Amino acid sequence: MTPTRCVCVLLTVAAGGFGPAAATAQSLVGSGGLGVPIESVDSRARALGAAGPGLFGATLSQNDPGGMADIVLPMITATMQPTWGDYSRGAASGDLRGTRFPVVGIAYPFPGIGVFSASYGAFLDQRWAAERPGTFTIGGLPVAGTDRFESDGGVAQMHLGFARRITETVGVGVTVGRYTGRVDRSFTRTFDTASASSGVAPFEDADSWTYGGGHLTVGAVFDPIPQVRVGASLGWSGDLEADPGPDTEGGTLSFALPSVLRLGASGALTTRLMATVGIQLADWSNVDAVLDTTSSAGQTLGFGAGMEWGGPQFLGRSLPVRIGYRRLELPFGSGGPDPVESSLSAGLGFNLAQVEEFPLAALDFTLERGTRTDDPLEEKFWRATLTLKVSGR
Amino acid sequence: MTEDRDATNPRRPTKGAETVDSPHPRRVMSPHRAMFPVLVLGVLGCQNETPTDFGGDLVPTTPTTVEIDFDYQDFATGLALYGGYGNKNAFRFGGVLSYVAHDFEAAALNARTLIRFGGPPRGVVVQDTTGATVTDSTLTFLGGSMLVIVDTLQSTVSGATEIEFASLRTRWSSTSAGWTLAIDSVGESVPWGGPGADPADPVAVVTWDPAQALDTIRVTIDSATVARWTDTTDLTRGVRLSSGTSGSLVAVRGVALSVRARPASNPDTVVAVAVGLEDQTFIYDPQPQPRPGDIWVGGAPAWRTVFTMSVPETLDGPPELCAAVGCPLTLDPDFVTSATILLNTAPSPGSFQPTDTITMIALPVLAPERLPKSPLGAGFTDGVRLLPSYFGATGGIELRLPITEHVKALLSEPADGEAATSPTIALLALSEPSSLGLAAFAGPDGDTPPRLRLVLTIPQTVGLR
Repeated sequence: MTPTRCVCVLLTVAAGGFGPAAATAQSLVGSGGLGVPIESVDSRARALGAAGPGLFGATLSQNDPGGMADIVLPMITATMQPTWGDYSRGAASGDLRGTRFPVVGIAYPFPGIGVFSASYGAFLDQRWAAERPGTFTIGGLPVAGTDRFESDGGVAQMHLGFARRITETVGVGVTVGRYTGRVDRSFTRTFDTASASSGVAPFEDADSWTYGGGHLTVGAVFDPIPQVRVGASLGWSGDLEADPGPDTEGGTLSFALPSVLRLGASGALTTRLMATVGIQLADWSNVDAVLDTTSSAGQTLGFGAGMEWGGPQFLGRSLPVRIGYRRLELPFGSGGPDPVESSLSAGLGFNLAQVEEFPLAALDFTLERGTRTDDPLEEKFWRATLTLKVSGR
Repeated sequence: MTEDRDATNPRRPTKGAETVDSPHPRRVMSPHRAMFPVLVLGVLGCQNETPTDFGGDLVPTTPTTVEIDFDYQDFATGLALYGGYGNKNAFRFGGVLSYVAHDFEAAALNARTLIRFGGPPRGVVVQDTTGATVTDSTLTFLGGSMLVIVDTLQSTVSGATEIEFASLRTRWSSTSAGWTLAIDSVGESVPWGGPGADPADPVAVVTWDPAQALDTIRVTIDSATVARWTDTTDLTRGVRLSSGTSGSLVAVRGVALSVRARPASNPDTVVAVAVGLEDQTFIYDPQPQPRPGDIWVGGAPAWRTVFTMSVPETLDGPPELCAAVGCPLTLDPDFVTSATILLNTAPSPGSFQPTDTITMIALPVLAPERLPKSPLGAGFTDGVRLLPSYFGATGGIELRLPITEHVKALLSEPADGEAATSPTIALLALSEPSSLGLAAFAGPDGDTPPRLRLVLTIPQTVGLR
């Protein structure tokens, strides 16, 4: 890799190096259960509404181990995802804003052997807050106060993967990894100092847990004909272990995470037009056994579809244009019966440098307009996803 | 080796991951330049706003906050009053250095200020008869004047007041002098010839009339008096200020002595030279007499009130606490949101009513067995400002002294290697001596004895939900 590319990689990693676990400011839907799932997909997959498997081309995706089999050059990829939006829940409303780093990764092909990869991606976000006014008797008088509960943190996943083509039409891959992360929860009760007697300091209570656990994903791609690709992946998770911090009561909690099945297919409608569909299935029911309240939605279904057009030529390069739609039932909510996220997306790809048909550096950009509903909570958001891929040898 | 590609599917190589002979890559934009928009968007998006539900039901815990008052006998024992703290010669109360009083108020307070000046000037810089500038140490003192600066706001007089100046005759100490003893220290006790620094040789009587809006009293003295007041070999030297007007209290902010001298190098010239102040204190009578159970803070010398706290470690009430969290409840220091001692003011002893704000603090007594000379620990409260109006004829003003950190420390186990927190605390003025007046509070045997008020917040355990 040339020095220029090395610097580019470092900048890319620096931009994304805060880590997916530093994802912030997501959703009140995350107040329930284990939070809001974050899909570790890149900008192209987001634009096409894809869950991962079944897209043409080589991808470095935690959800599509088989797709890595077509990586022919060493590659580094980083994805950044700023989100802006607003929410309303009953009388409460406000803005939400933050940036995720859904996935960063590196892949290296060894000729005749296969492709090795390492990646770090987000999994669950648990950042939210709630406030509640109250009245307390201090000094014999009613004193106003405010309760504030804040949750900060989430779960990320690290992967090591391997993929290869076993025949001309079939590629397989496997990733193994570990969950990491931490959540800090704090409760603060403050008293109105103007009306309370002197020296009534706020009451604070805080707890924390660190996460751990293992997971395994296997995947495959099948190209029955050159114009069609079918992909699948099955992710199995061990229990997500939550170890209490030094000042947190209770022992380690184990959450039985579901296996996740993802299926996808893409078809070349013309030489420059491609369509894709995909679904995702998971059953989160077993998590309820450990939670304080029944929060999971049980079985969840995700569906997405999209199209990609080779697009116009720009400065001698192709400029793929993508549109898509995705709907995902969320496993946990803030109290409503059926939390759902859906979004329409549009995206562009820009090859910064390429050899023949192989992009050496590419920038993909996607903009989504979506909603999350969990009656009475409704969130509307804009979400941008940027992925930079750099390849070289 | 060149990699073949399927013409019908340009997206898929026909072989596995094999080496690609790449021609020179065609580049539209260098990748590191492409990072700029990525980083800009990232920075723009990195501003975080946590979504917050207001007033809804997402707060997963509801701790119980309850207030509990303890009577004195339920939280404290061993109340004792100790006096004599601080030296009156270090008295600095709002700029006041000392007092002069005669038959003042109900206690018929008498107070006299004692002053000791330094030695005469050793030389002055003058022009001699030739016009040269010289330092002349051969001075003939012609006399001088003494200036007394009065704090008119802190003084209480009913009209023109006579201030008497006199020269002391007895050897005295500014750190230990009292109404009957000129020196009262370990190993030496020297009485005055008469109470109140008597006898003293009268020098002058000056009438001060505050109606004339003057805050200074000036007296002219002769050369003999100058010589007597500045003779450093004479240990009896000193000036006594007293009042000849009944019902008066004069607060002295400062004194100064200026002498007129004729230098030998220029006998036609008279110069005025300042003489430094060496010591100043005041003595008074009668001393305030505490009764058992009194709570006093302040005064000069200062008073301290000491008692030992015994905070209950388990609670069996009140009913709302038991209903919410169950009883008995072991009192955890983290439950203590606020701990306050409630004190009710009482009339101060006659003539010792505070005339300005006193700041009261509480400090742990580190060695109670060594009282009244026990060292005190670090403060755990910012203190309470006591206004003079709190201590009127009837008192009865409830004041709150926060001691939250101290109560938390009492309920906590000390860390390894650290001594346990002393349960004995002292109530005292922030600076000692702080004022002639002292702050008085109702004691345990009074109608409104001290109470301890705890505000407790008992949390609920919140797991991952």
